[in-house]
Amino acid sequence: MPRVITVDHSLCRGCNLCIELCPKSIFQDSAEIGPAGLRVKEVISPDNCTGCGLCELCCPGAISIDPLPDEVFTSICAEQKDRRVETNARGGWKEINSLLTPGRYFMTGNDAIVEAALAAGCRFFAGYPITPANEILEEMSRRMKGLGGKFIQAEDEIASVFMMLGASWAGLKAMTATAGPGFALMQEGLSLADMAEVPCVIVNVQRAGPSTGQATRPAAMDMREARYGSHGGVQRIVLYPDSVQETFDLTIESFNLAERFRVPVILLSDGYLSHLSEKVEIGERLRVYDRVYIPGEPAFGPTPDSSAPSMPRFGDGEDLQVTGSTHDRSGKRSTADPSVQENLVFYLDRKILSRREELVDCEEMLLDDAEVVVVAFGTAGRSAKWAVKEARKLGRAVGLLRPRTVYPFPTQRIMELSRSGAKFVVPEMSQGQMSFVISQCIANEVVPLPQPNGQIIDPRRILGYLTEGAW
Amino acid sequence: MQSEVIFSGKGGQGLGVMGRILALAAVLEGKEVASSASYGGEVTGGLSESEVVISDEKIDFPAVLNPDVLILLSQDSYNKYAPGVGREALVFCDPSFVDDRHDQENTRVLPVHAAEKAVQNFGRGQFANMVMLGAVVAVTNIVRPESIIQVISQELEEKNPELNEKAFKIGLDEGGQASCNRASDPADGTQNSHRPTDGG
Repeated sequence: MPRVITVDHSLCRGCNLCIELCPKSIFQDSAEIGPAGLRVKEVISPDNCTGCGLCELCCPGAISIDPLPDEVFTSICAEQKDRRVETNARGGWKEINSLLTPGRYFMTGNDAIVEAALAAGCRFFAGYPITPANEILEEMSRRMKGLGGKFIQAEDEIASVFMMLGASWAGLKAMTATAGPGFALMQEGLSLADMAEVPCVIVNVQRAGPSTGQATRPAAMDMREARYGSHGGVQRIVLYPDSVQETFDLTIESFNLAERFRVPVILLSDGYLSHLSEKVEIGERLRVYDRVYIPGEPAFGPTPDSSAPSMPRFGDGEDLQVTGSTHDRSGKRSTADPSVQENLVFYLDRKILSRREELVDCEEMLLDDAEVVVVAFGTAGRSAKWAVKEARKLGRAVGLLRPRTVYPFPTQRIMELSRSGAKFVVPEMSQGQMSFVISQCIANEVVPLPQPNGQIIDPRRILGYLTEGAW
Repeated sequence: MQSEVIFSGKGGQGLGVMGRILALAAVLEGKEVASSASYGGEVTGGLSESEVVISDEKIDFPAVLNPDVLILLSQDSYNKYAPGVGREALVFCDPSFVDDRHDQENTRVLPVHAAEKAVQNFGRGQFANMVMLGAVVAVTNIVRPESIIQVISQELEEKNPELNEKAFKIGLDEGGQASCNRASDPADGTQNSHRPTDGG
């Protein structure tokens, strides 16, 4: 990706380090003789720059690499349009160039998370190694510096999550990645993120539990933990992709949602999807949302329309307090007033629930005349898709509903589908978590097909149930 | 058209690299590809596997269900897969690692002396995986050899692409001969290597 590379001729000592080190041969001798009596260097092909930063790191001070001037914000999210009156306000939707050269890539699920996060503008990562999320941490440690971001391997998951929250208040898009056991440790920090309205993205690459369980084996056992793991129990946004391409797309979506709603967004993956390699198409431009800051506006809710409040960063000059205790709109603690507490908690729920219809996102297949609706997400959704297509070939009236948003849960859509009297079948890589949620919202027959054995579900097993009724 | 390929053997035999290069070659040809690797806790010497699914259409389920091609480079892997795959699948194995090729009446087994060829040509067995991959590509035509060569030059840029390419071409010749022999012996697809099996 092209960058602005400048060589300050008054500082260049002609040492040749940049020419020696640059892997893309961007520098060469110029005609000019510098103060040290040697030829100063010039940039010949800035378009080839990969942004690795080696030249800047080793140069005794003459070279600086800067990203191209940030594209201006093109539009702003509808609910915040009226409030953007100040000229020095910032944030909203913008269209930017992809970080990677547009084209077709072949990458693993974990790599896709890293690439998408960096493309969406993530510039802070703190984490602690854990299988099967390790590659995210590893790749972030390689990539972050070249992009001018910060990477920290923290002493544990608790530190990681709080570092992420601090970085977010300092103005950076921040994330962390972990697996089930680490995610359990992060719950306290996530609860603070809920209360203090801190935008951040937490990736949970699920593995077979409880506890250490089978570290290298996939599972989807953390649906309930993602939503209900923290105390306080406010609404969360939880996404779960089923392919590497979708992992890429939903990672960008996670950042956009986190910034728009000022909430922690949880992106679920699993031990299989994280190491699966598939094709990813990367386009030329992408749409990202940056948190809105309007000088002088209170930094916390409840806002009148339940949209996210203005978010300054430290150093903007606002009178800012950030606390996990119940607070008023300025952030000042107010822990004795029952109405402040109630309004705040209802507001935190409403922030997500009032936009539930827009948030809920499902893949639907062959549902029009389905007598049996298979509901599955993530990797189990791939198994279900194969089984549903094969069952159709055998003349069975089955269809597939695959939620991409685990929360808010697609309750409305499931209720609509239940009106035909359809039976619901729910294959899961757990003892049965989603099947329980579905049975809570409809009166139809809901059949759980649980498989908590640390393996992906063999689609022939689902097909066996759909055709012969045996699990 | 969908091909499902399994590479199985011990850690350190380059199974992951073979899988990745085959997958990338298929991507280069515009196919849909899903690939995953798994290995035991100990990387060198433990069971190591790599799966590649190549299809003209979007792949619904990304893991292998009915393997068409199996490359089995250890006795354990052979024992695990060969007896169950039936005669539709084609099993490649290296006689240097798989002594006991039992149950051949139910399986189409094609021995390729990859490790031996690698030692003959390069003095060590390091490039055996590319010899084997060459033989697999020559026999099955899953991808075009040029695609593999292009991927080798890009992917193994820092790992001696010239020698890897040479090993791949040796494998292509081996595979070409092996499949000729197989075609000339329609009665039996099992004892069809151009050389006698090595006392297994």
